[in-house]
Amino acid sequence: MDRIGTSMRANGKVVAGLLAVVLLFITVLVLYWKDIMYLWPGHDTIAIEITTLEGLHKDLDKEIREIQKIRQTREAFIRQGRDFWISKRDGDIESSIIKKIEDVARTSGLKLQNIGNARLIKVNDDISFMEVNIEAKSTMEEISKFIADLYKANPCYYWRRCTIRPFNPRDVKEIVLSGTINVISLTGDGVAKILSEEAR
Amino acid sequence: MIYWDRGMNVFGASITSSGDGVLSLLKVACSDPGIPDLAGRLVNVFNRLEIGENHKIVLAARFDGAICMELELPKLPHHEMRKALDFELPRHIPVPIDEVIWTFRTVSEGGAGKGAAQSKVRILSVSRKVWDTTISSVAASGIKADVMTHPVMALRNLPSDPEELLDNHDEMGKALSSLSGSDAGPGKFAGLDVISGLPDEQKTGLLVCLLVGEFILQENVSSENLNLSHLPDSMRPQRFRAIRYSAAALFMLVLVLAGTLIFRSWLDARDRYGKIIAEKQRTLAKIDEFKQERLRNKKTDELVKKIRDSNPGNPEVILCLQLLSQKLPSNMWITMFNSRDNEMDVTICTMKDKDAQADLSKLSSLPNFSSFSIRSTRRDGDGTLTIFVHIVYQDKLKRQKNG
Repeated sequence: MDRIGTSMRANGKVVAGLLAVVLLFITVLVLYWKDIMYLWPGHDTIAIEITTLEGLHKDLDKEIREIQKIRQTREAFIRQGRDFWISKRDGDIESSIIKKIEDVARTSGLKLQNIGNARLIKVNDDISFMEVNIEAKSTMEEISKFIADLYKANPCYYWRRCTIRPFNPRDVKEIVLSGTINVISLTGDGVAKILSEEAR
Repeated sequence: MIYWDRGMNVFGASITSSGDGVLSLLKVACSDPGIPDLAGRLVNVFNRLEIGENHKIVLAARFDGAICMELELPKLPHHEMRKALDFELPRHIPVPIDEVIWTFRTVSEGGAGKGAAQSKVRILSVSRKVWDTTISSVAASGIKADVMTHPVMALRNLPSDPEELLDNHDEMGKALSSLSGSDAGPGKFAGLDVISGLPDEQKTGLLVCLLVGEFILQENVSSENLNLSHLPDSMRPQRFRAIRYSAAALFMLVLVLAGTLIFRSWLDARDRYGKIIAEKQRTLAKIDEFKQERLRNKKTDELVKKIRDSNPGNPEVILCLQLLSQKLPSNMWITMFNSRDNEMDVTICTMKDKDAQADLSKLSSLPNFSSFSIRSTRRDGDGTLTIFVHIVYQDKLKRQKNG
């Protein structure tokens, strides 16, 4: 011990320097403990990160499920772009839609007794419904063919109302079809562009 | 024990102590006068003594100008005594205290009565220059030593002229006789016959060795008390070198293994942590990518949702009619079909009313109909049973078209 004491007294400056270095080291250790822990992550840090990661994975799974659903819906919507009336692509709906329905009826061999009362119902800035009333009297075969052809035709014709009944309850040869057909018209430029590009 | 006199003649004696207090002289050696320098003579004697690693090596020299004195001082602990002498010595030594190195040992302490608080201290001082010269000679020889002292420090009683005593053949001869015990009873040394035939000068030198050796072994004096000053580390013997080196090597190995373990642990922790962070970033990027996609397609998605919610009507009336015509029992027919959006009112007639309702209930199991209910029935005069059915169709907006 005496020798250590003597040696320390003899090398006072070195001992003071060493003490300063040790103090500096301890200060750095205290001040930058978090950064040092980052350099050497312990079990607790890793466990916290794993828990966070598990939470993120759950969020990701949820996000994947939602995005897949949205994508499917969106893709189906885009794929069925021809189902919607787009003025830029298909022309003015008010002047064209009746002719389109008449064309389908002609193809089906059905003579429409009455078609008209077309009215545009605006849902919002992008969506409008074009409603058309129709009435026909024919055989069940012709009416069925008309409805089937209308189903196959573009745009998509939605039946807001459809009534099929015999003209005379005692005679089923003549059937009356009356209904309101709805066509969705999309007027938004962005959507119209997407659907037009997809169709091309 | 190696001693050299004023003429630089080196003498060496290997002494051992047995359990019963008897000392044995194992080997003696005197330097070859043909060797010119002290270092060479020291090596010569050292090699001839064949000193083992476990031997304590004591060097005793006749330092030129050495001053030895005894002082009566108050009884003090060793370290306190050193401080006291530090203060006292300048008054007794004719040279500045900084130019000498000195040591002391307590020779005797006062007993009971008068002088009980006093102790006699022997002090030896040597010029620093002489000490350094001697040390460099010993260092040049490569000999390692535990103690380096002056023989007078080992004398029990300090004569008036100690230097004269150490060179006096007759006085030393008397001392030899007392140690060998040839005159009265057994002496302290065995094996002294090896020096009996030697010349007086060699005998005297070897006797000094024996006196110092005997003093150290019998009195159990610590090297701290005899040593004139701390010897440089390079001059101190390295004992049990193999064991120490092995321990050092083992320590280094443990250190390296521990270091490797720590490094490996750090590397693993960093690697694992890095992977977790990378995975976190990847997951966050993926989530962000999805969010961006939703943001990019927000307008389209909102439009789709709006269309779905706006209920434009039922595009699949034909499929409903087809389903009804296929699934309706053959004994039934539809007289009226009326649909409003996805809800349908159907009037069905039958002549066989027995199982009509059971047959119709089969339609309710069709997956396309989310609801199938019979609202009312009516019996006509001709026996026809008319059934009013309400159906809800659920495949809205899922039109499957070819082309």
